Order: sequence, then C-alpha cells, then structure tokens
Amino acid sequence: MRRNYNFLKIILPIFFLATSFTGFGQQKTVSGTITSSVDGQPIPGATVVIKGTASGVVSNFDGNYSIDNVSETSILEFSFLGYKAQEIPVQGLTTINVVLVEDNTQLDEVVVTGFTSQSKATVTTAITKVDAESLQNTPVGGASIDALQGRVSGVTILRTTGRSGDTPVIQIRGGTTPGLSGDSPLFIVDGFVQDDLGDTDMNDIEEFTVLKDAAAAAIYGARAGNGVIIIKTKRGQKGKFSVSLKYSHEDQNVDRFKIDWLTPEEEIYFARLGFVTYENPLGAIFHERNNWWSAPQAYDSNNASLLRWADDVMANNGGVIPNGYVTTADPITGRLLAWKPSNWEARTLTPGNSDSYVININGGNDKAVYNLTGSYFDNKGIGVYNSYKRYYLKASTDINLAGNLKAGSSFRYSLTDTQTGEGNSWYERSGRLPTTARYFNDDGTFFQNDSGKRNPDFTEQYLTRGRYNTDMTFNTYLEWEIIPDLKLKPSAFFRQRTYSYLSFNKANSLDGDRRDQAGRNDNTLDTQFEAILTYNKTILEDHNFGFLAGTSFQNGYDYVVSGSAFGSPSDLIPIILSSSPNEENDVSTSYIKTAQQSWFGQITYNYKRKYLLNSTFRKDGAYQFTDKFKFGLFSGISGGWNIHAENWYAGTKLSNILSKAKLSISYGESGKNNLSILDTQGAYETTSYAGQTGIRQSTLINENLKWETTKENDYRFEFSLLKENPINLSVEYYNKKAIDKLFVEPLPNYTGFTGIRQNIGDFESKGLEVGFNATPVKTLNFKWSLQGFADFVISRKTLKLPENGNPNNRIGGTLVYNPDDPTGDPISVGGTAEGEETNDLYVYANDGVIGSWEEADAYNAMVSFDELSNQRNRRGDMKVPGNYKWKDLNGDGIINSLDRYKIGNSNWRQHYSFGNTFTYTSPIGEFSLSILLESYTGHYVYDFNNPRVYSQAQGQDRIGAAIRDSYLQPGDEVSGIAQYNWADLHVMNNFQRLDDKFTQKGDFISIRNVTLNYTLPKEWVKPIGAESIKAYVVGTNLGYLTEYKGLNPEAFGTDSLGGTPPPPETVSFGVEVKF
Amino acid sequence: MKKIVNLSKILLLIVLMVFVSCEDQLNVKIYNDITGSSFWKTPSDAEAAVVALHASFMDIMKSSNNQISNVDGRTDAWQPGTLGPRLTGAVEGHFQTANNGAGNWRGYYRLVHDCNLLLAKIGDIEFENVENKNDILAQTYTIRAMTYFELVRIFGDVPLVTEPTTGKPEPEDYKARAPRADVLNLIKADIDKALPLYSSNLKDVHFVSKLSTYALKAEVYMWSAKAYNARGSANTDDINTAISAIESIENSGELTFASDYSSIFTRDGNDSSEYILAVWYENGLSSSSYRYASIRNDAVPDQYKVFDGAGNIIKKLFPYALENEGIAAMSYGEALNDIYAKYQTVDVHDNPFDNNDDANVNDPGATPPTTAWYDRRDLRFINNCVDIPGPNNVVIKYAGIEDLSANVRWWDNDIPIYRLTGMLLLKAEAYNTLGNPEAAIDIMDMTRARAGLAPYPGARDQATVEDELLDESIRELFGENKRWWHLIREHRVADYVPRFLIERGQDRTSESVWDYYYWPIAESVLIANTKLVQSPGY
Repeated sequence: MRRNYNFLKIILPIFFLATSFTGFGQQKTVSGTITSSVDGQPIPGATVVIKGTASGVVSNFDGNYSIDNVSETSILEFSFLGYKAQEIPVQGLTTINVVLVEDNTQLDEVVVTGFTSQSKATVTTAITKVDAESLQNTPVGGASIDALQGRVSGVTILRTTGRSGDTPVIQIRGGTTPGLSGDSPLFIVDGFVQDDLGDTDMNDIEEFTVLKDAAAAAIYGARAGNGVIIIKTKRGQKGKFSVSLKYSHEDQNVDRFKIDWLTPEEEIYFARLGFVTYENPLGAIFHERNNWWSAPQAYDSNNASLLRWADDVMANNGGVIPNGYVTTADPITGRLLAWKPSNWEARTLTPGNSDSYVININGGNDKAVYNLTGSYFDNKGIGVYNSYKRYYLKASTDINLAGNLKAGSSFRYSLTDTQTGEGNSWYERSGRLPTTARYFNDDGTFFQNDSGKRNPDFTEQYLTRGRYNTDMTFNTYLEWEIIPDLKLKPSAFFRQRTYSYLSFNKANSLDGDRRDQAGRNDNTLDTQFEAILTYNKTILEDHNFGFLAGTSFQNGYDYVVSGSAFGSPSDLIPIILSSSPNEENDVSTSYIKTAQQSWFGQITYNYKRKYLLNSTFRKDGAYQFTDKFKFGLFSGISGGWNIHAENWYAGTKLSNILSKAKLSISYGESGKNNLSILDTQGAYETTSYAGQTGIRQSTLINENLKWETTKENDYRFEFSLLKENPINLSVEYYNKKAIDKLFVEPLPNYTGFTGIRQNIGDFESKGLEVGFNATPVKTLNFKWSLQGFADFVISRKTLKLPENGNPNNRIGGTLVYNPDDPTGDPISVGGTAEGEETNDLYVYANDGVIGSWEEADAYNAMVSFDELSNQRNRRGDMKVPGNYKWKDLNGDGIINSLDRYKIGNSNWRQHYSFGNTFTYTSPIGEFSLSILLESYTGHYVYDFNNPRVYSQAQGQDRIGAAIRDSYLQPGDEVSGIAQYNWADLHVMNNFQRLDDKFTQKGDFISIRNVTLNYTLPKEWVKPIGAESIKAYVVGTNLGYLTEYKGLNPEAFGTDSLGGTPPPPETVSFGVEVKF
Repeated sequence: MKKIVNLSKILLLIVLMVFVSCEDQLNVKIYNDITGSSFWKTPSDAEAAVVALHASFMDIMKSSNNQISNVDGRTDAWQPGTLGPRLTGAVEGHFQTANNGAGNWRGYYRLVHDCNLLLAKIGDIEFENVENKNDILAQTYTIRAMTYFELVRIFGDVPLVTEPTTGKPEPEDYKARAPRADVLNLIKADIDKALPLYSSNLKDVHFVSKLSTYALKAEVYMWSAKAYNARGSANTDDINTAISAIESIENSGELTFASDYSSIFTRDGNDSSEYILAVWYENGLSSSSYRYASIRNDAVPDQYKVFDGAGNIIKKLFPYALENEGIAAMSYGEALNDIYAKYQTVDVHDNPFDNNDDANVNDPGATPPTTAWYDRRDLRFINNCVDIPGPNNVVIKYAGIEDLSANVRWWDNDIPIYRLTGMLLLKAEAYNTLGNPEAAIDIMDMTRARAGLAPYPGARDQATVEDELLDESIRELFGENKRWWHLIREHRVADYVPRFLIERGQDRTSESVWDYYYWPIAESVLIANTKLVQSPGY
C-alpha cells in the first residue's frame, strides 16, 4: 500500500500543473467559399482553423466563411467530415476559396480495443462502437446505458422499472448463465474497471465501445466473462473557449399499464353478485344474514370500504346522504347502497416528469485542453413519492508537459437523492384497490391502509425513505514517449462512493406511534493502479507491429455502519438518538477488503492491413481463492483477412458486387470470479438467544473453487455491396461456452445446507448476428441513412452438470406427465438439466368455461382436484357452471400439477432493431428525424395482472372490464371468462392456475425512439452571440405492435407490475445553446 | 529538460515497482466474518456453538410453521381464524400435500449438522474445566436427540446423520431413510450419553439441562412404548423407564407445583418454578410468537377494554392487532369450548356475544351483564381462551403485555417445552396404561383443584380415565403442543380428529392408519436426493 501513495505524490502535482494553459493574438481577416469536388456545391458547416491555435470558424449555408486575426505566416486548415482536410498557407491572401475532395479512407474509423485503439479495418474481434453523437438527445433518466437500447447487435438492454437511476438488465450475447437474470457486463469508465456504469451522465459520454467476444474481452481477464462495455467521457478539444447550455423537459406516462376496469357502478353490481356465489357456491338460495360476510362492506375485510347501506349512512348523518356519496341499488336485496368512488390507480400511476440542465465548457490549445460538464437532473417519477435528483460534475485537463510527455487528470462526482415510499406495492396492490375502498377519510385525511396496500399519499406524509449516494472518481495519468512510438502510461484511479439510507416513520397509528428509525452508511473506496507500455513499429514498410504490456492492482474497501431504533420524541427528529430504544441487533458494522492483481499483454500484427493478427493474454490473481487456484490465465487470439485489399481482388467479378470483404475469426477465454472469499474459506455466523451470542457454521468450506471460464469462437464476414452509397453488412456467428461455472450446487436436505458453491457446470450459447447500415440517399441537403440488426439465438443450453443421480443430472425442477406415455410415470422437467434450456413454461390446459349443470356434473364425475387443497375450502373440489375446466392430460382423474404441458420458453429467440435517420438541410436550418424500432420475439409471457383483477384475488382488488362479459348463469352464452366470485382465490380458483389462457406469446415491436432535431442556421444565431442553437423533441417507448393481451410484452417470464413503477412512455423536448 | 530526465528516473522506478509481483497483497485480512480456519480454538468457541444450538432448536420449537400449524394444528385444539388469509393448510385441511409447505426437513438437519460438528470438533479444544466440557457435550447430545425425536415423530423413517457435512457427497453415498427404530435407538443412546455428563440438575430453564434430558427421556420412552405398538399392548418396560425419568425430575427438588395456574404463564413465566425447558422470548420477538392467534382491534368487545373517564381505551385485556394490521389466522378449536365447559362450577350467564348460545344471537347490541360471564368455566379457560362474537376464538395464553406508552404489545411470554405439570400428566397416562387409573386420577385431581374444579367425579375405569386424561391434558396444556402426540400415543386420532383421516381418504375406523400420520416430504427434498421415497400415502 505504501508504494501506492508514493505514486500518488508524483501524480497529484501533475494534475495541478495541468490546469494552466497559454493564450495567443493575431492581425488580419481572410474569407472565401468552400465547395465540394463531387458536385461543385457549397459545403455548409465546414471547419476553418488557424493551425496551431484554437481559433476557428465554420462555413455558413452558402459555404462562405470569414476568419479574423490571421497572421501572415499562418496556415489555415479546412476540414469537413467525409472530405480530406486541406492546409493552405495564408501568405498575404485575403480570399481563399477551397475545393474539398471526398475522402473514403476517413470512414475507416478508430475503435477502442481495450487499453489501446485500432483502425476499424484491422480489428479482428467482435467490437462495436457507438459514438454519442447518434445518441445525443436520447432521454435516459438516470441510467445512461439505456441509450444503447436497440443500438448494438448482441446486446440486450431491458428496462424493467420506471424508477430513474435504476440500472436496466444488460446482457451481452445472452450472458453465460442459463436464463435472463444477471450477467451484467464489466464496465470500463475512462479506464477504471467497475461493475456498473454508476451515475455517469449521458451528456458527458462521448462514446460506448462494446467488447462482445471473449477474444476481445480477454484483455480484461477474470471479470470480463460477460463481455465489456467501455465508456469514454468527454475530454477537452482544441479550440476557443466555448460554453454550451442545454435544457430539456420530459413527460413520463404509464397509461399503457392501466387496466381496463369496470365502471364503478358495474363494479358494485358484480361485486355484490360475486358475494352470492362466494356465500352460496353450490347455488343455494341467497339469504341475508347478519353476518360479516353478507354486509356490503365485507367487500374489503380491512374495513377500508365505503360501501354501506344507505339508510345506515343516513342514520349517522342526520338523515341525509353526505356530500360526495352516491347511491346505487344493491342487485341482491334491492336495498340502496351508499358509497364514494375512489380511483387509487390514478394516484399510483400518476404521470411523472423530469427536467435536466447541462452546462459544458470546453477549450484549450496545443499546450493544454480542458473540459467541464455539470448537470442537474430532477425527476418526479410515476406515482406519488417517487423522486430522483442527480447533481453531476466532471472536470478534465490534458496537458503537454514536453514534446514526449503528456499528463492529464479528471475528476467526476455525482450525488443522487432518491426518495421512495415504503409500501412499494402501491403500483400493483394499492393501485388495484376497489373503487369503494376509501382513499380519504370523511374528515379529508388520507385513509391509512396496511403496508401491503399502502395509501401513497399517506406514505408521502408519514414515511421517509431516502437514499443518498455519492460517487467520486479521481484519475490521473502520465504518458511518456520514451523513444518514438514507445510509450509508457502509468495511471492511478480512486473511486469513493457513499451510500446512505435514512428511514423514518413519523408518528402514525398504524405502527403505534413508534417512530421507527433506521439508518445505514456504506462507504466504499476502490483504487486501481495501472501501468501500460506500448510500442508500435512498422518494419520493412508493410509489416505493422503493435506491442502492449501492462499491469494493474485493484483494491477495494467497504465499510458499512447501520442501525435501527424507534421512539423518537418528535416527528422533527428522524435520526437515532442515543436514548432511543433499540430493536434486537440494532447496530452493526461491516468491513470488507478485496484485492486483485493482473498482468496483461497484447501483440497486433498486420501486413499491408491485409492479413491481420491479434493476440492478448491476461494473468489475474484474486483474493477470493486459495493459494492453489489464486491465479488464472486468460487469452485471446484472432486473425482477419481484408480480401478487398488484395491486388487481384479489384479485377474480379465479385468485386463489382462486394466492394469490401473481410473475414475474421477469433477465439478467446475470459473469466468470472463472482464469489466471496467465504465460499472458499467457509464461514460462521452469529445468532442470538437468551441474551447470549451463539456461533454456527453458515457456509461450508470449499478450497477447490477456481475461476469460471468463458470460451468463445467467433466467425465474422463483413462486406459492402455497391461502391457508391455502399450497403455495409456483417454476418457473425458465435459459439460461447462457459466452463466450470460458479453455481451453488444444491445439497441433499439432510446435510443441513441448501448448497455449496462449486465450479459445477458448462453452459453453451450460440447465436447469429446480422448487422447492416447504409445511406441510400445522400445529397447536399438531404440524407437518409438506416441501420439495423437481427440477433438469432441458435442454442442456449446447459451442457454439463455434476452427477447427482437424476436423469440429465437435473437440478431443481418439477414433475409433469409424460406426453409420450400419458398414463406412465411422470417425468421430471424444468430447473436446470443437461441438454436443456432453462425457463421452460409448463402450464395447465384451460378447457373453457362450464356452461351448464349437466356439463359440470359430467366434469365432476370425470375429475377431482387434489391440489391447492387449502384453497378449496368453500366448495370442496366440485366445479359448477361458470368455472373453468382444465384438461386432465394424463387421464388419471385428478387435476394436479402433473397435468401441465410445455407451452414455450420465457427467453427470447430473436432480437431485431431497425433505425432510420433523415437529415434535411434548408435555409431555415437543419432538420433530422430518426426512428428506431426494436423487437423481441419467441418468448412466452405469463400475464399475472389480468387473472388477478378477474379473480379479485383475496377480495381486495378492483374488477377488470372483461368481467362484463363473464359467465353469469346457466343458459347464458358462454364467454371466455369464468364466472366472477368475490375473492375467487378462496372460492373456485378459476384464475389462480398458471394456464395457457393467460400464458401467451410475447412477440412485440417497440417504437423505441423517435427523435426530431432542429438546428437553427448560423446566421440567425450569430447576432445574439451564440455559435449554435439546437432544439429537439424525442419520444421513447411510444408503443408496441403485439398480439399479447397483457400489459407488458417485455416481461420475460411473469408480467406483473410488482413493487416498482413500470417503465414509462416518454416525450421530451430540449434546447441547446452553444456560445 | 534536466527536470524531465529526473522525472524519467522516478518513473522508471515506479514502473519497476508496479511490474514486480506482490502476492501478499492478495491475502486480505477478513474482518467481517469468522472463517473455517479461525473457529474451534478455545472453550469459548464451543460455548458459543452450544448457544447457537439452542438458538436453532428454539427457533424450530417456536416457529408457527413447525409447531402450531403442523403439529397441534392438526388436532381439534385449533381451527382457522376468520379474518384475512387464514392458516388453513394444516388446520382445516389437516394434512399437507407434497407441494404446499410442510416437509422440508433441512432446518432440523442443519441443527443435526451443528451438533455433529460440535461433537467432532470439541476434542480439538483444550478445556481447563472438564465439567464445562461435559456440560456442553451433554447439552449437545440432548439437542441432537430432541431434534431426531421431532424428525422421527413427524416423518417416521428419516436419514440418520451422525457426522458433520463437509462437502457434497457423491450421489451413490446419499443417505436414504433409516428405519424409525434405528432413529429411536440413536435418540436413546444420546440420552444415555448425556445424563451422566451433567454437572448439575438445572441452571437456566432456557437452556437444556439434566432435567430436560429426563423429560425428553420420559416422552421418548412413552412414545416407544405406545405409538408403534397396537393399542392395548404397550411395552411396560419402556413405560416404567418413563415413570422413573419423571420421578427423577420430581425428586430433583428443583421444581414445585405452582399454586396458581395463571401465574405460570405470566410475563415472568421463565421464573416459574414449574418450568423445565422453555423457549426464551423478549421484546421485539413478536413476529414469531402466538400473535397470529390475535384479533383485530375493532372486533374486541368492550368488556375486554378498560376505559378512562373520557372514554379512551387505557388497556386491552387480550391480544389485539394494531389498527387494521393484524389478523387472526388461527384460533382455538371450537371443541375446546365444550371440553373446558364440562365441569362448570359457576352459574351460567348467557353470553350475548357468544353465537353458541341462542338467547341474544340476533341482538349483538344487548347490554352486557354486570357479572363477569366468563367466570363460568374452568379457570384455565379464562387464562387461555376468550370466546367472542362471531366465529372468533382468541387465544390469550401467551398474551404478552401491553405497553401503553408505546401503544404496542410485547409478545414476550416464554413458551414451555417441558414443565412439571406436563410431566405429571404424562406420568398419569403411564400409570393408567399400566392399569392403575387411580394413580392417574390422583394426579388429575391436583391439576383440577388448581383450576377451581372439584375432584374428578366420573367413572374410574381405565378406558374412561384415558378419555378423561386426553381432556384434562388439553385443558392444562393447550398451546404447549402436546395433544397431537398424545392422540397418537393413545391411537385416538380417528376419534378426536375424524376429518383428518376422512380427508386422507381413510376409513376412520381402520386400526392401521399410522402411515397417514406422517408428513409428506416436499418435492424439492425428493428431487435433491434420489434415494428418498415419499412418505407413505402421498
């Protein structure tokens, strides 16, 4: 450790040194017109810079420019994207007209391959770069990574919640774990290796680079098994001092998550009818009894209902119906009911909005450049008491200390303040309370419901739940060119994060005025010290070599203090006082250290950029393992062939069709070390009993744990059709195997342990990725470009599991009948098994609604139900008209879990993206419209929401509109919806079974993003002193094209609203002014 | 330029340092946890381990899942509550299917592992005080025996594990179910090992002591004498062993028969002279106590509330849930009303809140009588149960205490596992089984007298006394989880819980229904171990 601080002492002064830069001054004005060699038309927006300075201008719509303070000896640089830059010495001229020549090689962009960059033409692994230009105005709330949704083939980004700042599910090539959970890639933010992107503001991001295959990721070794996403934030650019300001406003809407309900009147009608079927399930005559279940308010056992007999209400209110109440005749007794309608969903799914303010300052010269980004993001999210605020600041400087010595540093800081209520099940349970459930008490105060279905406004008023996170990264580097092309770059990174949590309940009767308090502070320091030596050499003209060697140390320290108490003397004191009474085990601290050490290297070689070779290795050591397995070696090798670069190719017929063709093949190994040191060393835990502390074993010792390895082959063919406006295509096949996966292996229950972490299985993921982009139309003022991809899953299955005596060594799972031999022994399915994909969905076969007593009798004679026995308490297992039937698939006369069949799998099989961008430049400014569609297909979704509101669950849910067409009595036309029973879960269980009526294909096309950008003409904005003004309107998640009938086709598995706000549809507008 | 050269030298130094391997950096110190290599060094480690055994065992004993819902919850002593999601699985269904809940024995086996690990490791520790070591060993053997006794009674044949788990066994080495006789033999052997090791009789009722081992011994031998033998052919040697174990408890001089039943279960019950072993409760452990037997506040009749002059409630006499929060998931069985009422000693006033009486059933607004109507029954009923309007039976045996200042109720009564009166009634059962009903009646008269009842007035033959003992035991021991095992010992499940067997598809008159008393094992347990077979009948 001592060594690291010495290192810091040297680096720190460099940072401060780097904050100075120099100025300059000149004399005359030069002007002229810039035109294109292609069609002789003027080029608007071309850049003119005085060489060696930051001073420059941009040509106007007519291609004219005028630049001041030019000296006699200056050289002017003219450049425009897609054209070759030109340098013209001034030599006394005052008018310089320039014709720019188109440059095809400039399209040969540079991509980051890890620690270094490479020309895209020589890259031989699966690397995709997305520069932020194209994502610029994507509103991403708190999580910048959302911007990549649908942009990169092979990358799945699923937004499962609408809470700002929540990280979406990110997977590269399906991860390496069977199923859709976890497997988030590794993030490298400005060189710092971290497990998440953190709160980096999208406005500060310059580009994303995704390392998809193991050969590319191998340079990050043991943590790169899920792929790597490299993020580069903005650094200073040479040029004059500039300031840009950006404001945007976003509206969030979750209407598509609202259920189609019965009207309040219909709801009461059906609720009362449902009582009759509940009370008299077998059709006996309903009679009014003075028992709790026949009173109107029994609709909600929590006494939260406002449904009363009207005469009772009047009796308590001086003989009149109180204001706000309406009366309805009870369909059962004819008596008048009085009630006050509430709409809870309107509060739980209230639209949200956010505002974002960004300032960016940039400038610098040959000596030094600097950049500063500051932003404030303020989101008032969906529903009540759901807010997220972020303050963000990033400052960077890069300086030339001497001809061969550069240094730089950056500082990044974010503070987020997230307020969410306790009772997060609002979104589902509270929002679906019946229309008769009171939201307000008669005195206007909020009704206090229990924690399962908390009143959102009550929560906001009484319960504080705040999270305050800070994330501070400081990094600094030195780059020393020892001899030409031999560079040494040592760097140091410090990342300090704090995570604070404050929870306080103001005095309220629900918890007995206890004033519960809890607090937690989690302080994490991560450090990374790195040194990289690179050498690039071209020998004998055509042999290009690149060498890289590096080493890295990473240390982590995590210190947590948490405590809880209750009994604060006042609502004004949310903090824990030393005198507060404590719960048991109320205070705890925890201190965890981690360490990892790595050495890595890379050799690249190409011959005339025709034959390409690339190899990397990395040796990682990590603290979690025992000495025997402490170090892991990972490597990658890849080769490529630029066929079109061959001399003979130009003459072939093929070259007329394929203007470019490149083949590359890679093989690599990367790893994962996702385990705790306690998994190897075993652990004991403390328990408490009778005031004494006990200690018992909690984790079994396993000294044989080793690294998990991801091995991947990747074959890629990239080609371009046509020479003019080429269509670029790529076809890529990958075969990924995760070997010795770190899983918790289940143990027989008699061992007393649920499992032991082992390197137990091999898993395979194969897929095909097809990508394309083209610019079919490109004139001077109109451009149409499109791009897209299609990802196909070829195989995703478990290859090997440890012997456990079960067929296919299945772990977990369930029993169903054997479709090949229905009357034979049941077979074991599901769980994880060799040769199978996980997440198969087994469902009951819904056989429609019973329409008559004859049909019911016949069905009852044929089958009985032995499952869910604790829920058949009111009717036994007899089915009556109006109930669903399920097929007795194995014909044993019993409907039970054996009668399920496989309907499909909840994992997607195909993933498509299609984007179009239209740019039109006119005298009134530049317009650009882009539309991005994203699609997933092949998955099945269990719709949890609709059955719930049709069944009314335990009697405390609102009723869905489909009940309008439900079965009412024998002789009715039988619809697809079973008869409504109050609290069907406890009565007939029509809607509780996971059946094929509510398990549907989830295929969808999402209108992921529509962006309209408008840039004002330069001459309009110049008078007000601005350099540019842009405005934009963006819509995201605007709609789905799907046949799925539930709420969210993007649910892979169960479509349930759950405890978090659903992902909203957003519309935002913004304006950016640059001075 | 010179400066840069100097800088270069420093840089070179850094590079050298950075590139040099430094493996010790990867050996981080662990502050947070106790690891496998740092434990089992000193006597205090073993002491902490034996505390943990108690923590786990008591957790099993107090858990509503294991004990009330799954053991006594099967009997007529309990019924589902009426509010909210009712605990109907065990109580109303009276059995569990393989898929819904019961049947995961991992918790029991975790405790077995912990015992086995302690027994395997204690030899490595040097004790200065051998008595200390022996006491730890005795407690460990006893807890292992108690755990297996739970297992064998619940599941019948179970895997027999006597070594600690060190890793994953090969599938061919997986353990199958061992015959219940072998399990009983291990239990008896553990008891025999434990008894001579204790340095004293009783130290703290919250921890296993020599007297708890005797109590266990009595229950184990009564079980082996009667449960697996046909009705009427009990093993008399085993019964005599049980009687002598109970006598060892009585003769220890540590316990006295309490004079007032209600004092036994007060908040300070742990000081009661009747307790042999009890689950320790304290403030804040409310969630796992008998709270589920409570009732919603708004359903509490005014008789059970004490008001101040301004009409504010200042005290509630039995458990209520917090406003709108709690729900009575289970309540005492309706049958108990009759069992307790069998020997009424006080005039019966009609209870306007009791739906069982007819006079005022349609007039819930009637003024309550001035006399405390609930005095009419066995004093133990008043201590244990409250019968209130509607089908709401509320259990108040472990009612905790209300903290008015914080507006909370502390559910902190200790819950007895073994207490003297339970042992005496077990002895009464033993005598009656041996054909000595008079000795049994003597014991019942003691417990009856304390409950305010006259001496037993009924017939004094063995069969009648057996019935009477079943009644007297539940009157006395309600909420202590003894009835289900008692019914099995007497082979009387079919008589007292007929619907249990009907729902299991059995003719209630059938003699050989033992198979249907076992719990099924969960499907996940079956799948994890290919050598297991499902309990019979499922």
